[in-house]
Amino acid sequence: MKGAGVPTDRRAVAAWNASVAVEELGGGSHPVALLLHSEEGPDHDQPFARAIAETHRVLLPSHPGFGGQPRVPRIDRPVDLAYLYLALLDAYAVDACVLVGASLGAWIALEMAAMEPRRFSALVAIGPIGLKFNGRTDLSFAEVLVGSQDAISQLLYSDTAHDVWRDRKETDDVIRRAEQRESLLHYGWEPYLHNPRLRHLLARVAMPALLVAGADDGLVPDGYYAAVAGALPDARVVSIPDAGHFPQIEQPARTVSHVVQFISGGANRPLSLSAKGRRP
Amino acid sequence: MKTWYFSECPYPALPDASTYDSIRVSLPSRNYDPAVGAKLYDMYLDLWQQADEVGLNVMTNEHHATATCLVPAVPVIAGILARTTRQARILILGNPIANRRDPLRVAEEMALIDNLSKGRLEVGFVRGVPFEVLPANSRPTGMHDRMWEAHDLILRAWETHDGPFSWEGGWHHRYVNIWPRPYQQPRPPVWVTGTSPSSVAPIASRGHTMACFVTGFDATRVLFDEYRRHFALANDGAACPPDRLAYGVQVYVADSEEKARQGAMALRWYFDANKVPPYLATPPGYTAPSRMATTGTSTAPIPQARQAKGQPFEWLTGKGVLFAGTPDQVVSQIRAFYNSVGGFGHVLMMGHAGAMTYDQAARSLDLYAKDVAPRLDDLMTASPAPS
Repeated sequence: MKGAGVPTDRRAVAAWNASVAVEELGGGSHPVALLLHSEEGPDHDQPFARAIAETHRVLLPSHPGFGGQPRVPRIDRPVDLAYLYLALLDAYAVDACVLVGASLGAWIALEMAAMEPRRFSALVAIGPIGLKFNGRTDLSFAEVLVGSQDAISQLLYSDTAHDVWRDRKETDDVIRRAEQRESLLHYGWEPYLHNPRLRHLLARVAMPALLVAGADDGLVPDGYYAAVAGALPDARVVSIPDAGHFPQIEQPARTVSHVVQFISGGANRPLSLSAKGRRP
Repeated sequence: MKTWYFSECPYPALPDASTYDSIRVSLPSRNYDPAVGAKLYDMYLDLWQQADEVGLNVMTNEHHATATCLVPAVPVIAGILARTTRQARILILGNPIANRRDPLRVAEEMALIDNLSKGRLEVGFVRGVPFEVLPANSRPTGMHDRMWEAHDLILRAWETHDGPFSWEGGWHHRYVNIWPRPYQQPRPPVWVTGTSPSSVAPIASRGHTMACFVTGFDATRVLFDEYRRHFALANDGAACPPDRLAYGVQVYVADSEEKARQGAMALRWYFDANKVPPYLATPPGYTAPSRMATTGTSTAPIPQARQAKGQPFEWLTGKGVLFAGTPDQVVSQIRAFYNSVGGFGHVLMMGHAGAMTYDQAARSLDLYAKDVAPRLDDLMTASPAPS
């Protein structure tokens, strides 16, 4: 993995009456990428962040309730986290940046992109949750909040040997996993892992978007990523073989390659009317 | 001492437990035969009526999506008991108000039953056991706050008699003005279950009756002491009346020790049949992360009720999760427990479980009422008072 030598700093940033733990990676002259980690926690997206930091100044905040941070009263839904991170960008005086999120982080990124579409030049959503396209008797996502560790692992990972919690029996690890599962549950219990309004807001997400899908993702229903792409004005899907719901964890090199190419290349083109004419 | 007879109204006619993963949440209802179940309801209602006739009080509860308890709507059962019993006080323990979508509806149901029973209702509120979060789709985080907000709204609805008030918190009602209001004034006595020391303070400070279920000698002492401490703190050091503390326990009284053992083993179905995978017993959010890491250690011991599975008679009586024997033996077991935990005012008597027959349960009720209850009168003589 690239990025071993990038400068790293950690600080607590005041935003929206909360204190957000932020890891800053990469040079200050690079364009900014806000990286929103998955429900496996900030530590497990850190190697991915270091690779992106080769070309970008990466801001990696820990979601309240993850990475050892406490949850914040009245931040109960991913849409609340989206407001928190818009305030965080305000605190950094970042007016334009790239948004990258994985799973829960991608859900938050989509909420942010719908709120302030002109602020983001490109969006990368790796295994986004948060959206429901199937019917009312179809579960929006497979059950991963209440289930055995083995069953959950099999849904989320192509190879359960890659499960970041596998064989971690130390008390600190058991507590951290439990805290993070509780926080995912808190943010996504009902409606189950989605915001019914978000699907209809995706038409506002006008910036170029890359959807990264694990080819063996057992969490999402059939046809999910195609449906997400279809609801976005300018999106394409890349499928990562031998990866489940967290391609950035299971296949980091392949995932980084697609993401870096996207956010360093054409995705940074100036905003203009798209060929489909759907850009605002 | 007041005694309250209850049954969870189980459906014991199940296939071998090796054929299913869980008796709760996921067991398909095709395993319920309406022809069998409808007759069971007759028996359970008859047993409550019998308890009333021999002079005991009655208690009912509710669970969802489970063969261990066929009552998913406790107000329906309590409404029937309001008419089929005459003297018994009727305790609902309880209404799972952290899981009920509309606390106002609970306030209305309870007020209605209180009127139907001419003021014999006692209203319990519970957080709900962990297995209930999926059937109720109830978010396991924040349950404590939801329960107490629902409690506050329900009591306000009962006690406000001068037209609508508004409530805009976690629940939203612009016009709260329930009819009928409760028969008892200002309201029925309130009970809440106590499960861990951290749950006790808000119960004790309000003076509500606290019930602990099959927590055994040691844990019950801790919980009761915690209640007494918080009661005194909230009442200028006043001693806690024993009628504020209740112990839920399996009880079987028989003419002989041999028959008592048979009854006790029939009651043990309640422990034995509770086959539930660990992930349903400790869903994230319901159990604190620090406890998840220490489950099974001294910090977070396995609950007595789960340890009781398959245990012999002596273990069950020795731990205080079962009182069983001849009347003399049961009196002495209850008195020993009373002394060990520092006193309490109510025995919540699980007197039926599993496949126990009507005659088997009714005989125990008769003996208890005739030869046990009168010999416990000196333990607590205070009359019930709204808490």
